Amino acid sequence: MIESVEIDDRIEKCERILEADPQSQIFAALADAFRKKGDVQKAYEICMQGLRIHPDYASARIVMAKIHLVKGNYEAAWGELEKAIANGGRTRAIDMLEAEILIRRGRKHEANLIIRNLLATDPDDENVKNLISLMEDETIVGGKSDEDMTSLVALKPEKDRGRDLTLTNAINMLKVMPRVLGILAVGPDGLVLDGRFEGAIHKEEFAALSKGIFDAIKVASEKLHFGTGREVLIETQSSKIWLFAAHKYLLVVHARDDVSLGALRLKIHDLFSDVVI
Amino acid sequence: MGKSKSDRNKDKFQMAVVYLTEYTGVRGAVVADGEGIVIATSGQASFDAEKFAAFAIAVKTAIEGPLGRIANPSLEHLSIKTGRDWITVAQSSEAFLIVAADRRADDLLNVRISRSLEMISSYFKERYPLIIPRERAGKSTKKLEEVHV
Repeated sequence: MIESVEIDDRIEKCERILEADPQSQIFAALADAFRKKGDVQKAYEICMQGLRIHPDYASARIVMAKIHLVKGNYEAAWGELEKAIANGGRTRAIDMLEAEILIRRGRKHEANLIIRNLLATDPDDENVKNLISLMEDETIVGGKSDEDMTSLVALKPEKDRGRDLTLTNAINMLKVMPRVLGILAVGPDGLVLDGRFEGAIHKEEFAALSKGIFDAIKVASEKLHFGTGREVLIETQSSKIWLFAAHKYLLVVHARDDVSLGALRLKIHDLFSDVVI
Repeated sequence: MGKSKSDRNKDKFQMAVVYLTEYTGVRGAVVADGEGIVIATSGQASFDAEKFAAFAIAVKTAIEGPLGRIANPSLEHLSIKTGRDWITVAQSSEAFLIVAADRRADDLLNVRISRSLEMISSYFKERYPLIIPRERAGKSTKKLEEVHV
């Protein structure tokens, strides 16, 4: 009851602000309040109208993703989440929302990888515990057990993890590391084999250009008899691009300039040394 | 009889490369200008400074186009590991610092590389302040008006 009063109060305040300034970004808070109150249709209309004026407002995209989630439009929720990441970057809240959407879409293995990382950074986070409960409920309701989930929820020791990793799983696990913007596995033809990527540039273009850079360095190294390049790290003022030549693909890791290279190297070694494609 | 000005200048760059080649696993180090001309070098007898300077320019030229499309085009640091070598190309002010080391050399070599870059950069700033673009001269750079206010 108290919560309901608080929400009504919030709605009233937000409406007053929006009335005074129809261009205000308060629409996102208003829509979220209506969502919490249970009026999903009203929330949807307000958020949609606001996004027409502020299409790049990441917080509003998150609210819209949550609205779609309640309505059961999981694909649309995923689309909004991607826009939120592209506009505002990745946060813990986004990781949690992503895990929830993945659970609802039945992709529990990927959700579990994210949850593992969330748990590793804050084991007492109640929201993460709720996600685990949700995943367990979904499994029971779905009537079938998810092998990946069972094995991963048990939180196996780190040393055993690599043995059952696919390229997709390894990429997903690396992607949740702080300040990692994207990971791509690029084939010999420069096409994306797999990957998770955020940012303004398309992953296909990033992959092709990264492959071009790696090949150019490889040619220059071989020409001067320095041997074949296996690993290239490029640091610019804004970001770091790390290229690793694997057996059948080039692994491209794009990260913010303040990423911890030592931790990233260890993680890459841990995850990708046993990956087979 | 004192050293000539050009000898003193050369000594400062020389100090930066010698500081690097003192480190275990480093085969050689070069300071080269923007056109690949060797300014200072230190290393083993077999270390071919001209070759490494040419390599740095070739690589920078080859990658700056695609790099500009996916990231900030101003390359600061490039590290290449082959089966045997670890080659670092770092840009400081108007010069390149190229370091060739054994692939297995300790990662702490990066700390020395950073220090050498600082030596080169501070010397450039002190000696040639007008040729260093403002954005490369560091965030603390102030406009003349700001200095006088």
